[in-house]
Amino acid sequence: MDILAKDITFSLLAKSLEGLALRQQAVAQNLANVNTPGYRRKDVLFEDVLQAALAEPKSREETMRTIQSTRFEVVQESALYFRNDRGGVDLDREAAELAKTTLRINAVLNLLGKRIALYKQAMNEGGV
Amino acid sequence: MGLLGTLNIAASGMTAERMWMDTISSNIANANTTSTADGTPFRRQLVVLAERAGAGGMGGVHVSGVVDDMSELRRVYEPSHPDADADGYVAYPNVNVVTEMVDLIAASRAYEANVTAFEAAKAAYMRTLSLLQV
Repeated sequence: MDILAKDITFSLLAKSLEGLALRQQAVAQNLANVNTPGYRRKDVLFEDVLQAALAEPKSREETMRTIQSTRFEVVQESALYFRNDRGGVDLDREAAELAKTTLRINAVLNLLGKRIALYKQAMNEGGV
Repeated sequence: MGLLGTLNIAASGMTAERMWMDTISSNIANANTTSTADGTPFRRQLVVLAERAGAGGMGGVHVSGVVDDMSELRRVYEPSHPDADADGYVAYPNVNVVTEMVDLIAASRAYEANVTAFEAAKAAYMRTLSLLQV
């Protein structure tokens, strides 16, 4: 009946997009506070959370439930600082993080597009 | 939320850095102002940036205040100056133009970094929207 509700690949891609968007937000927060004294950089740990959720083999329904109930958390990095005013943001590192996140968002969006194209093809009975 | 929140955060950073650049311009423009509205010499102004905690602890940044730099004023012997004191010294602002230029570079680099984050979030949002196109 509900095809998308059973599609593990689709919901996994959607969930990683959610995690990547949150990481992009954390990088934006770090860049906005590059001149804030005492600020500590933020990050989102989502690959580990998602991998842990999928570690043991489960039934399809249970896997879907695990994916959907996964929540990502924003973590604050320890007292590392790079500047005399104890600012904790390294501009170059954040630029690299932003580039990585953007590339991965593009990859996930491409895969989601392909998945949607598959469904479209099925709806058209294999025609174009 | 998600990507649109990122746009707000980057915009808050751009606002804060531009505010800093405005203050730097004002400091440079008044580097030799010996008499302000209340009759005292101009004092260098500093912006104080503070993190803003919004949804999920990520709300960008804001300027929590613009404060006067209370370091010592520059005293120059100029007895004929109308603002000279009894000993013939004029108090000039504690503005060092070189320091201001260095701050200006820092502010403008930080502004650019926020613009990059803004563009990245906007591009991701546009690409997500295009998934809906038939």
